[in-house]
Amino acid sequence: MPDTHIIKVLEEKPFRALSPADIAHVESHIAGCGECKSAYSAARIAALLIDARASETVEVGPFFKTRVMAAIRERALSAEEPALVRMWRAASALVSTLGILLVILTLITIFGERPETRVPTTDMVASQNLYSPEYVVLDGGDLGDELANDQVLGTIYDLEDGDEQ
Amino acid sequence: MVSQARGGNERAFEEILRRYSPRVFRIASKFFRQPDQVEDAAQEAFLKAYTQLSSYEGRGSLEGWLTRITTNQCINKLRSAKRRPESSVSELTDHEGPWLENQLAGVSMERHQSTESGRVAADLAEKVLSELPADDRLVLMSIDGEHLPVKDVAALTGWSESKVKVRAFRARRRMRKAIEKLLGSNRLVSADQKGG
Repeated sequence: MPDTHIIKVLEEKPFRALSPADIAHVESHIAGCGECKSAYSAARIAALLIDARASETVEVGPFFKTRVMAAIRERALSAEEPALVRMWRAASALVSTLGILLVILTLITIFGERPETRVPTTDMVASQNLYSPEYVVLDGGDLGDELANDQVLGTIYDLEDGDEQ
Repeated sequence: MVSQARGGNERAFEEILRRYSPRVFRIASKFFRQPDQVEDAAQEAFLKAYTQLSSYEGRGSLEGWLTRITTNQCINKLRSAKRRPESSVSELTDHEGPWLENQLAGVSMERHQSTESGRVAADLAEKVLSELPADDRLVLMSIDGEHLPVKDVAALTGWSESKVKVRAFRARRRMRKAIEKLLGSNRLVSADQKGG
């Protein structure tokens, strides 16, 4: 078996960059070294795999430019506006609606019709009173029915007695 | 064009987009395979480029500057992405096992005999690469896949050339060991199937 393994040669440079002299050295070595033969096979397969993967390329999509430009505009817009402005943009509709509602309620409170609480006048009371002053003085009417004559007389005489005493 | 775009001229930036999108997509395709992931990464790269246009001094090429931004963007995205626990390198599909056997048996280094074979190889490559750290993937795809010189990868990543070389050395070792493990498990599966 040759005295130096060739694994280091395989790792120092890409497999496809090995010179003919390197290849000859490697092949003469692996004829008698199982460990290096296995390493050589793996390095050769690794080179094939990397080539296969490197040959794959995703093509540029038809809308890629539009997508990037839209993202740039969006970022530029958000960078220009302060945070408060952005918050306002998001919540303006709700805040405006609440504000309008508040104004409407305030106006209704100030200018709306209140229930009447005026102090009743004499005329008003009289109009509702069944016993108006005129009626009581001039007609008497049925008031006499409510106070018995004896009661009236008794009251008058009691007062006179009291005066004499 | 850059100065116009920097001044807020949208048409100028649209022209940059049109001109460099294929390049940016090609870079992002090395890191991601799903079209929507590639497109997301490309969009993020262009958005970053747009916001950092003022820092572009015009000393290098615009393409180089965009390549750096895209690479960094993809690396960061890849680092932050969670690894998929459900996919394991040792789990080979019905096509991948025979593909490996054929490669072991054959001595041909023909890149891809057929479209189907190429697709199987790319699937398997993605499976192995997704198990490696993002930086390993970057150096393997750039140096071994794209055949970029170490100097260019150093410029792309901001690493020193010696760091790129060490990274590449370790990445090749990890990839090789992952494939050796894969070959070992495939042999066991094949022996089981023959025995059963």
